[in-house]
Amino acid sequence: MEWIYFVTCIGILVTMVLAVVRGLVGPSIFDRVLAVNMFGTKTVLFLAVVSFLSGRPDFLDLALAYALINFIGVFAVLLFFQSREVRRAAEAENEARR
Amino acid sequence: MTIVFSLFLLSMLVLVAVAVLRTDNLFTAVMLSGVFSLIMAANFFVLDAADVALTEAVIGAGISTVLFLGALALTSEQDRSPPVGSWVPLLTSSALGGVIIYAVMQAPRLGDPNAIVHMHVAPWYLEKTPELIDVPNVVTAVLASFRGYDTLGEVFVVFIACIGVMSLLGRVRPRRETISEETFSKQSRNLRHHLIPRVVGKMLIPFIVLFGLYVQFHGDFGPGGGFQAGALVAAGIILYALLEGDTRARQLVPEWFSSVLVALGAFTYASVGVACMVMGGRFLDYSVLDPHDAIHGQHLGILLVEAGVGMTVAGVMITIFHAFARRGIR
Amino acid sequence: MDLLLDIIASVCLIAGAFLVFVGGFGVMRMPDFYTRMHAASLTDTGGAALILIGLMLQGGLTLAPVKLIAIFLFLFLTSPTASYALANAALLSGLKPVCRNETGSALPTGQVVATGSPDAAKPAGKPAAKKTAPKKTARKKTDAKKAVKKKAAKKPAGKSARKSS
Repeated sequence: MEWIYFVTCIGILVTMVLAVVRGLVGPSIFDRVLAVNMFGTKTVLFLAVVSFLSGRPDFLDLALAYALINFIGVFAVLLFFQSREVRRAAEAENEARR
Repeated sequence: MTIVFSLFLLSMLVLVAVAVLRTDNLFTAVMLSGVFSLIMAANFFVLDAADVALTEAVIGAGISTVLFLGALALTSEQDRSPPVGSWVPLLTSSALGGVIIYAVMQAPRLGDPNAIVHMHVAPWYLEKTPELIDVPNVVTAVLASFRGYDTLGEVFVVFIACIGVMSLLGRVRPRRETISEETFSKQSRNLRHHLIPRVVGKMLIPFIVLFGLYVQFHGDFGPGGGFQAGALVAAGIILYALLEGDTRARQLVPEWFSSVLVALGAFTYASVGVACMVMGGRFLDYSVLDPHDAIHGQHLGILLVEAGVGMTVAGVMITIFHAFARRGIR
Repeated sequence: MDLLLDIIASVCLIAGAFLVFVGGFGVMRMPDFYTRMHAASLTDTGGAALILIGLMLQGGLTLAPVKLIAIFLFLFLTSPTASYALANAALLSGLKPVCRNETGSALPTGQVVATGSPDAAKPAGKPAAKKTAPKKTARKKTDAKKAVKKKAAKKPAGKSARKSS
């Protein structure tokens, strides 16, 4: 059974590498945020499978904690872009006034 | 098996670190540093250090990203080239890196049972914990009881960091320029008009806070403790602040409350130590807290001390977030 | 009975790992941001569900399957919300999806079609916006080709102008 866990872990790790590559390459910033979000959910799955692989189901708390924390970052990004519009409009106004 | 996992994770770490340095868009750097923290958390986890992995995941990848984005909203997104040339820093860091690599080569192999660090202190902790403290999680026993002084210092460091941030960012500067009414009314400092994030987020906030409390009290038995719990509770409040706006979040958890929480946590920790002295033992010697049963005294001491840590960390995270969020455009 | 549970769990885990890998592969290969988000959501829901069900079958009757159910519920709720929030942020900043014309071939990727609003000409993070001049009628292949030819013709003209000055 350990080999099945190991193969699953390798699959998840390869996907994590692909997500990181997309995060490094991705032409727009949204690609990078998508890569980070995907990396987060893959980390949750990786932590769950490795906790079973090492025989310690107590460590599922980490996966649960990160599953809850992961999407706060995406909401912060959404608010950041939303406030960026307002900031740019305000800057344009100040430039026009000068 | 650990070797294969570590190979993947560490090579990704190097790639991401190089990318964080080389990019000139600061937003990309913030996102990639979140990935960096996650890879480190997975690495710690593969090396069986669960408490550290939990702390790194929650604080490094969760709260740090939000705080960095809050700071980025106050400045520009483009990295400016540094005023000094890059040769002196490059030489300095290469020299330092060379020294560190040389020192690491002299260290014993990972997990070597004959290493010096495994011969004296570590077996003593492992033997004496069931006898003196009797908690299943040895990390919590070491952190809160055997090395209680260090943790007291950590709590006070976090407290001082909060004081530093509050003294730098606490007072709201008067605006240099005014913006027109139209732009002011268009600004939306919250996500209230996005229905789906609002509903799902508000549904999850009680679970996050509840899970934070679980991690706080479960720290004796599994990975957990005060630092992780404080960060989780703060993450729940920060989520509410992101969804509903800073003003309403400050009505929910007033600023005086989070400031009192910060001070109260550090005060609790120190006063437990003083109470131990009053009851006849040494500073932070919890065994004397219960005159009849030393182990129960240890449990009580660890409970109070971790509660103090959790309160301070939660208060500090919330205060720093509000300090950044309040300085946004008005 | 144990063997049966093991076999079902193994099948679930391998299928889940395969779905996760397919999603990752899709994120690398898809041409546009919105299609990449479709691929990423495949891993977040289908792959995660199968892997967590496989682990649940291996957990026995302890607290571990309950925690796995909690992880699955939270992942299931939060990753579509995160996708929505991200797509909304992208649309808010003017990133348009790739459109296909009648003959089925795609326009150049990442093209930001001008809509007359002042935020169509933003420089940050969208290098494609610098390359293509704002054109409203660029839905036909011929127009796109003409634009490419025009730019190719402009470049040598620009070079010769610089050479002569």
